Amino acid sequence: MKMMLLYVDPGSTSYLLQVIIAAIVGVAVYFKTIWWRIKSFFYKGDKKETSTEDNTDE
Amino acid sequence: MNNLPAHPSSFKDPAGFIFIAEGIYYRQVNQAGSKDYSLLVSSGLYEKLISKNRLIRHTEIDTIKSDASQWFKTLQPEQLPFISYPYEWSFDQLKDAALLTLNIQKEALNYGMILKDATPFNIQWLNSKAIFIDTLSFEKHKEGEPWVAYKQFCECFLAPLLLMHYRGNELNKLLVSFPNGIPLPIVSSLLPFKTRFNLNLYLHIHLQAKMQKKGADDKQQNKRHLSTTQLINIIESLRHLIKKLSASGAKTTWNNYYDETILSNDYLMHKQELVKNFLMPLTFSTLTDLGANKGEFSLLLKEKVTKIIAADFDAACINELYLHTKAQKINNIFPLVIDLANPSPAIGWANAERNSFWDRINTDVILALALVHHLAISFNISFAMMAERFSQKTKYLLIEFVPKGDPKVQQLLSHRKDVFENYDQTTFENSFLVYFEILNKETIQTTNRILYLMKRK
Repeated sequence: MKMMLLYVDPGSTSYLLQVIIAAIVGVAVYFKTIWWRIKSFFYKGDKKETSTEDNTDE
Repeated sequence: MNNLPAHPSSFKDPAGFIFIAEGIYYRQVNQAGSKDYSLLVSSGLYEKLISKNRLIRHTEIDTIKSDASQWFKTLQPEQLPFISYPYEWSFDQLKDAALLTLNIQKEALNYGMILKDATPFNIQWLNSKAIFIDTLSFEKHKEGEPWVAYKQFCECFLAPLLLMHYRGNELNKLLVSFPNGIPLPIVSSLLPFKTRFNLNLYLHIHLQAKMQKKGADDKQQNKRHLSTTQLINIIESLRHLIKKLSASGAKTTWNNYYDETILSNDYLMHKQELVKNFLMPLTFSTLTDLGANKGEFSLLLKEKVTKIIAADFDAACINELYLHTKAQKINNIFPLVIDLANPSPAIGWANAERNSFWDRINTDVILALALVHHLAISFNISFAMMAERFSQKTKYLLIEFVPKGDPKVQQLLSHRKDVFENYDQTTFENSFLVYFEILNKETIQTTNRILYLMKRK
């Protein structure tokens, strides 16, 4: 690793990255939602869990 | 009480610090942290997290202050039975700690707050579950701002989990060298090439590492805006990635020790009976099981004590024990991955931020079953060294002597020169008699192994 890194504000890289990730993940979530809708249209009786709420620590 | 020094690990946050008064841990909230702490309580987030057992419960105490000039409030948190560190946790322990952090972050956003740091050192174990202990990690979330602890989360949780999953469970030990997070360029180069084709993994690790290397400077920072929904999407993406990870490898040398070895069922049953018979008449409340394997003997004795530290160097065994204690809600066993020949050192500033393993051990009973031959033959640790160490840490010692003729010892010796002339029962007894008296001893059926109960002189 370059020593240079120590002088770069770590926050600004992370900020830009979070914006990029949010955009890409946002598109993925958008298509996933459409996919779930199509699926639930064809499998109306199938109540598959689509929520991402996690209960592992409860 | 005034002017009690801050705990050596508690100096980074201007919002407050931990101090100890008469053996009790307190947290002082400074004036600098008053707004965020008040919001945590008034928003209802504190109650919400307490009701889900995600955050440590506390009561406000006004009579004890550490630094009166900065004082806003003193909190007395529920006291923890034992402090352990992420480099001592097995895969699923670290994974549960990571998921807990993400759950808390998501919950905080619902209440207009956000986690300002994301380190596994903010997590401890209470009632067999991970619990968040840093009440002052919450701050008001300014709409549009990113998650300031995102990079820290990736370096401290995601990175070690990925390395453990893809490259080996033992890599949690990297956190000893990098307690503030494993640098992502290193993580990126250590992960297999195929991980570049996993979108979430690519974004959070490889792309971030690349951007850090380049030192990308974001000139547009002030104009950027991240909505709360976008932040939640990032958290969901991290959670999705982490939930799919599992401990690497199925079976190791020791996680089938009692299942498949040449050691028979009669041996195990008689040993269990002897352990019970030896210990039941004694009065004690804490036990440390060294070389605990999957915790067979810790589980056998769990009703008799308030706290058991179960340590083994095999990460897979400890992982199995953790999953068992979690599923069965066994509240008093603390599983730890510890290599006794090289236990966790004291680390951080002035070597005082995180205590060494032995500094945290002071117990009524040490259990050292099927252990001495490993320490002696694999690591050249003499009986005298073991006796001295154990005598400094325990009142009673339940220890199994494994003679040289034992098949397990022969197995250890098969790959090395036998330089252990003094590995015999007489030397063993004489070494321990310097510090202990022998209260009881008996040969374990179907073997020549001998179980000793000793008491410190």
